[in-house]
Formats: sequence, C-alpha cells, structure tokens
Amino acid sequence: MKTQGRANSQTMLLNRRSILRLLLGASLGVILGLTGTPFSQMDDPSIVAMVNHQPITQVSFDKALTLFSADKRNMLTAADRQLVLNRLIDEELLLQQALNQGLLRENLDVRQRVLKTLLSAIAGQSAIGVGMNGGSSKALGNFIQQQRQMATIVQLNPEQRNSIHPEVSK
Amino acid sequence: MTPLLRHWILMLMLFATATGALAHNPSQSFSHWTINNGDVQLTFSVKTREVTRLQPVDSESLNARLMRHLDESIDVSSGNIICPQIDKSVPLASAQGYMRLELNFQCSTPGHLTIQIDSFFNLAESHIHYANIRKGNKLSQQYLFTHENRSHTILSDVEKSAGNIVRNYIALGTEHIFGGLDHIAFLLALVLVCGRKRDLLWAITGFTLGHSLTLAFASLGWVAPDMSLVEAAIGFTIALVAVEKVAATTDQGKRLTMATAVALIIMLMVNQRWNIGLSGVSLIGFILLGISYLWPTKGESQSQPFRLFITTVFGLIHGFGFAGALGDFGLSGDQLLWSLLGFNLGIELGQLAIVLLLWVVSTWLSGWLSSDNRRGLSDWSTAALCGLGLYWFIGRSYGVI
Repeated sequence: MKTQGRANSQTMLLNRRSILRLLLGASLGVILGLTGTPFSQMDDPSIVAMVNHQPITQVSFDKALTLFSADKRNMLTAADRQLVLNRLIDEELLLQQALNQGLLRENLDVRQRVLKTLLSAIAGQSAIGVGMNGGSSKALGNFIQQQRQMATIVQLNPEQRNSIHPEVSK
Repeated sequence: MTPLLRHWILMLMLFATATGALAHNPSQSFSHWTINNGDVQLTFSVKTREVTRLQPVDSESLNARLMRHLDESIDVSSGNIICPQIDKSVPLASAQGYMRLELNFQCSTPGHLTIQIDSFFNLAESHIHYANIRKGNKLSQQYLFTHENRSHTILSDVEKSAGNIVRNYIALGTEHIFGGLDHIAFLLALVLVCGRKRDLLWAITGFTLGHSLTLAFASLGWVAPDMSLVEAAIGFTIALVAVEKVAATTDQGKRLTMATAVALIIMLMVNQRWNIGLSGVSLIGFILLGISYLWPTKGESQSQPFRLFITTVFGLIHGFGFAGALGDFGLSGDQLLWSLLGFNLGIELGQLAIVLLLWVVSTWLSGWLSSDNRRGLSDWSTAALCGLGLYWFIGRSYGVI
C-alpha cells in the first residue's frame, strides 16, 4: 500500500515536472517570438538601430550625417553622431505613429505628397536604368502594369459603382 | 528500443535545429533566363533583406547597391569567350519585400554557354541561387548554384526531357525540406509523439497525403492561401504536437487543452483590442484545431485512424508552405506537372531520409542511455520543440520574424 502510494506521488511529481518544463519552453518561445530574434538583425552591419523592429540603415544614417555636417563648420563629434541618430529614432517613432493612425491613407495631403515622391522616384530610376532622360512616362506605365499583374484586385458591387451618386450628379 | 530511448538523440538534434532557428529564413535568390540565339536576358530576384548585406558606396540606394553587385558578380561566356553585358542592369517592379533586376548579355561566339554566378556567396556561405533557364522554345532547365558550385554549363543541343525536369525538381524538393527547419522540427515532433513504428508510419502517411494535396492545389493556382497565416500555422502545428506529447505522458489532456484555448483566447482579445496580428477568424480556427486535437489525448498513443486524419490536416498546412517555396522558384505552364511531381518526390525522399536517419541513429545510440534520465530528456526535448513552434507561431503572427 505504502509502496503504491509512493509510486503515485512519484508519478505526480514527474507529471508536474513535465508540465512545468513544457511551460518553460512555451514561455521562452513566446518571449523570443514577441521580441524577435535580436541576433538576426543586430549582427547586420548595415543596420545602426532598430526601432520597434524597424531598422534604421547605415545608408540613411550616413545621409543624415552628411546633411548635419553641411550646417556645421567643425568636424563631427561623437555627441553629434549620437544626436543625429536620436533624431532619426524620434523621426521613425513619429512615422510609425502616423502610419498606425492611417495618415497615409486618410490624409489627402500626405497621400498626394507620397504619391508624387514615388512617381518622381520611378521616373528618375528609369532614367538611370535606361541611360536616358526621356521615356519616363512609358516606364511609369510599365511599372504600374507590372504592379497590376502582381496585385490581387477584386472589383465589388457593380450596381453601386455604376449608379450616379446624387452629390456627383449635382 | 523503447520510445523514450530516442529522446537523447531527439534532444541533440533539436538543439541543432534550435540554433539554426535563428537563420530560419534561408539566404537565397532566384533568376529566370531566356536565351534566344545570342541574346541572353535574365531577371534576378532576391529578398530586400539580403540586399542590405551589401556594403554601400557613397550612400547609394539599395537598388543601386544590387545593380552594382550583380553587374560585378554575374558572368556569361560562350565557347570560353566572355559575353559582354548590354548596358547596366535595370530595376523592375517586384513583390513586396523583394527586389528584381533585369540584365542582358550578347553572346556572338557559338559554343556551350557557361554561367557564373558569384552573387551573395561571399556574404553568406549558405546562400543558394536557383536559376531557371529557357533556351528558345525548349523546356526550361533548372540549376542550383551554391558557394562551392557557382558555375554551370548549359548544353545547347540537348532538349530537356520530362525525366530531366523531374530529376532537377527532386533535387530542389530535397534541398528545400533539408533547409526548412520548421518542417524538420515537425518531423522530429512526430517521431517524438509516435511511440511505435506503426504509429509513425500512419503519421507520415497522413502528413504526406495532406501536403501533396495542398502543394498541388496551390501550385496549380486552385487555391491562394495567405502565406503569413500558413507560416504561422506551421509553427502552431509543431507546438501542438509537443503539447500532445506532454498531455499523453501526464494524462492531462483536458487541462492542457483548456490552457491552450485560454492562451489563444487571450491572444485573440489582444489582437482585436489593438488591431494587430492574425485575424479573429484565423485565431478561432486555431482554437478549434487545438481543442479538437488535444481533447481526445489519453495515454501514450492516439488511435491510428485519428493519427492519420490529424496528420493529414497538418500536412495540408505544411503543403502550402512547400508551395510557397516552389512558387518562389517559379514554374511555367509547359512543365508544371512534371516539376510538381519532381518537387513532391524530392520532399518525400528528404522526409523519409530525415525520419530514417533519426530512427537509425537513435537505435544505434540506444545502448548508451541510462533509464534515469529518459523522462527528463523527453520533457526537455518536448519543451524545446514547443518553444520553437511558439517562437515561429508568435513571431510570424505579429510579423516580428
């Protein structure tokens, strides 16, 4: 009887241990999953900082330093470099906030500016790639055509789309 | 050999997998070549993340970095004469997270075409490049470029047969499953949870059946799953099998089912409150899957029909993951069925090799193990598998990894 009781308590102890170990493994997995693998990006030499998993690249840091040094007569100090990095981090935080609030989609002014910048970038890129200045509108047309081919576009509610809205008819 | 004897080996292999988990997304790139007489055109695509490995010169953009790198690292020669590149590479529109460039070469000397690709290999030794090469109207040929094998000669007078296509895609399928650490982790979990050889056979059969179906459906374009959801679900299946192992060992299936459901409900509420992560419908699906899978768990082994059914369901999820990889490589209509067959065969061969290797090694080493530590090792290996699965599930759900 005593032996059986001891065996039962031993089994219970082992079972409890199994569950605790499972919980430990699960917790570790959840924490690593939520924080990301810092190792994977932190060892990337082209990234100078991570802001909510969004990288600030060496390229953008160098650009910001160039702009900063243009306004400064003396050599850049370590404090200057840190200041520039802090500004980029603040800018990234504000940008993330704006994106989270849906400013890009909802604010007409922001949307227009972004689209204009994107269009100029495509036109500029095509001019570099092709090695000429003309033909940017053709390149843009091709670009949009390619994007359309890759996108999933579903047009819904044809009745509503074809009916004339009273506001528009006025 | 008792089932627990395998846990030492599983534990060791698991840690090997766990360290590799940090490099879960393999470094790879793709190219599609069209060769018409002397005109050689190629589109090269690679993940943007890979391009950030390239050191910039004078604050150049990622596009400029990739253009410079490709112009320097891809060579085409015909009859041992280097074919000149026509203009510089041209950026093309690409899927989100990828970059795509076009390069053109002119080969005027007749002879065998040799392609040398050095791109990214010096930055990541494990980098793999997949090249799909079409000559005129002939069927495409597939070549694998690795750190050690960066050059291939394209035979001009040999038309590719269906057999060659199948062979090429078998190699790609095998390579994919050996590189897909999450699939290996899932197979490890299956070996762990299936105490007897017969159970494992049922499980592998179900898994094969499931992933063959969805691999075919997705590759044929009949279904287009949300890949981020599929990737997260793959992690979930690994964690779920690990929980089943503990539920069976401790006979606490119902408690662990409740704990799993509560954790997922909390996740659902967080997602709904802050509008992040997976959709509510997806999470409800995971809750139902978790409950229906774990609730009947009692004792060491599930019934074989249930094992077959549930691993088929898991296989359906993993099959979409395989299809994603096949889609990355690219398929064309004239060879779709052959390449699909070859890729699936390759996966099966890789899968069998992994399971057999595990079994043989564990049998060989079984004599070394003492019975005292078996339970502990079983627990730790299960815990590590559960952690890995949840790491992928959570990380992919929130787009962190």
